[in-house]
Amino acid sequence: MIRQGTTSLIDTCVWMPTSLEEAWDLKKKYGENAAFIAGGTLMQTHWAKGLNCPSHLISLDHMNEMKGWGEELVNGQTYTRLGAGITLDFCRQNKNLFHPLLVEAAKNIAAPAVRNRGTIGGNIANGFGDMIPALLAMDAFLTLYDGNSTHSLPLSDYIKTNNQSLIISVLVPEDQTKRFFYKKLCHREAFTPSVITVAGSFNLNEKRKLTAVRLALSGGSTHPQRLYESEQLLEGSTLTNNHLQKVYQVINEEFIPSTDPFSTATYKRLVASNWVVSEIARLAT
Amino acid sequence: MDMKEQAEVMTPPKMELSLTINGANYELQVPPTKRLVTILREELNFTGTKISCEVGRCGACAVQMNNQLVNSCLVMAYQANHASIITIEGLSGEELDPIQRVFLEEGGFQCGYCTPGMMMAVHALLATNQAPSEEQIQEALSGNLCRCTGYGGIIRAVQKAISNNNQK
Ligand SMILES: Cc1cc2nc3c(=O)[nH]c(=O)nc-3n(C[C@H](O)[C@H](O)[C@H](O)COP(=O)(O)OP(=O)(O)OC[C@H]3O[C@@H](n4cnc5c(N)ncnc54)[C@H](O)[C@@H]3O)c2cc1C
Ligand code: FES
Ligand code: FES
Repeated sequence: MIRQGTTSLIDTCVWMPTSLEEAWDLKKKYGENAAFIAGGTLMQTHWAKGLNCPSHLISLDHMNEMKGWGEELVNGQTYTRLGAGITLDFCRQNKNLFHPLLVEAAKNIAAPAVRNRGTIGGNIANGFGDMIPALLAMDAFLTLYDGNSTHSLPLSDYIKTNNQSLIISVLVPEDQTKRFFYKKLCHREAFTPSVITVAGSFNLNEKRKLTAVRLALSGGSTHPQRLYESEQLLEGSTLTNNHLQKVYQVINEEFIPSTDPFSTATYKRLVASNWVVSEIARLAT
Repeated sequence: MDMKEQAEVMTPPKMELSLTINGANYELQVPPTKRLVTILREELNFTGTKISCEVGRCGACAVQMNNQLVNSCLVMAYQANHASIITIEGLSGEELDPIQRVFLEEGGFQCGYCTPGMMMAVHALLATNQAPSEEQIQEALSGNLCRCTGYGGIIRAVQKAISNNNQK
């Protein structure tokens, strides 16, 4: 299978555009026969599984807009801008540059050699990456290019549609005050795909009430989700055992994971509800 | 608009690949999507780099590219263009590399198949962190699978390399 995949790659043409417009026009020109490629770490595993490699690969390696990081002020709020081409390991290694929740998420993805090639943009665009729950919990925005213009979109909206835009960068609010958690359930301890990934964040005000609650989940075969109803239930609340029990029930009803050959949806719901409630209780006390 | 006049294109079947391997320059004509591991092993005879899973899961094919650990089965020719590659053959000079010596001394391998990739991962770790904790060692080697040793000898070897470094 793998050898066959490799043989099919021999006829693939690789384009190295240097501007967003050029990359977009190439995709438009070759349509279904072309795909954007960043680190290629995920795409190559797809080809190895027997998916056809497109006959045109459009490399994003020379896209200056997707490189680097920095600070940006948007509507009075300071954001950290991460170029889509930033590698996962760069994110993991730079605790001084990036929010600890992002660093924690990057640390939980693959292993160093894969993280040195895999990018944040590729992690988000593939729709199932383990960075997504962390970024959702932080109210991240994406800067996108859709062939006409560059615009920003909350990640929470991006995940609801099959958005085909180019991801240029990710904007993460610089908020060091929020309490947060990130947990990934796997079939073994390290270097393994996620069964479910859970991330959350909230503020605890002087009256010990939870505010700005964000809860996000995903998993190897589970589409990323924000738990809006559960967030609402926690918003403005003071934690009591009764309230946490109610939250537990609502998460269990609201979270819709998939069943896969190894784990049922019921099991995933159980783990997610337990984790979220216990992490919130731990961080709020 | 003719794209070929705009973007640089690596057309099949061949592109001009220029790279440095263990300090020596190589120019080759290869398909742009040919994997680095195949180029190393089949075109240039650097067979110290092993191949097993072929999808980034085992670390047998690990090499350093521009001072970073990569799985050479997940790097395509166009991605390695103008890069500097270090393979296991590049670790030792006249004598064994200190990492190779501690693997010998501490029983860090049995069949030896995972060993080149494992040593490249240890090399990458110690190049950036002279005194890693046990957790950091495990984390750095998490992408390298060994079917024989149970990892005990490997971890001992890394710890010995660290203490040898500290005694210098
Ligand atoms: C052994 C192994 C283990 C792994 N473990 C994990 C894991 O634990 N968790 C996890 O989340 N992932 C894991 N992955 C998958 C992958 O490495 C990561 O998701 C990585 O972040 C993908 O980034 P990339 O740059 O390699 O994406 P690519 O493979 O280049 O692209 C992935 C998809 O995103 C699209 N794309 C890439 N960049 C952009 C962009 N800027 N704009 C629009 N579309 C774009 C591509 O067209 C493609 O559809 C693993 C992979 C391997 C090989
Ligand atoms: S052969 Fe490359 S990681 Fe297994
Ligand atoms: S020594 Fe045999 S696989 Fe590691």
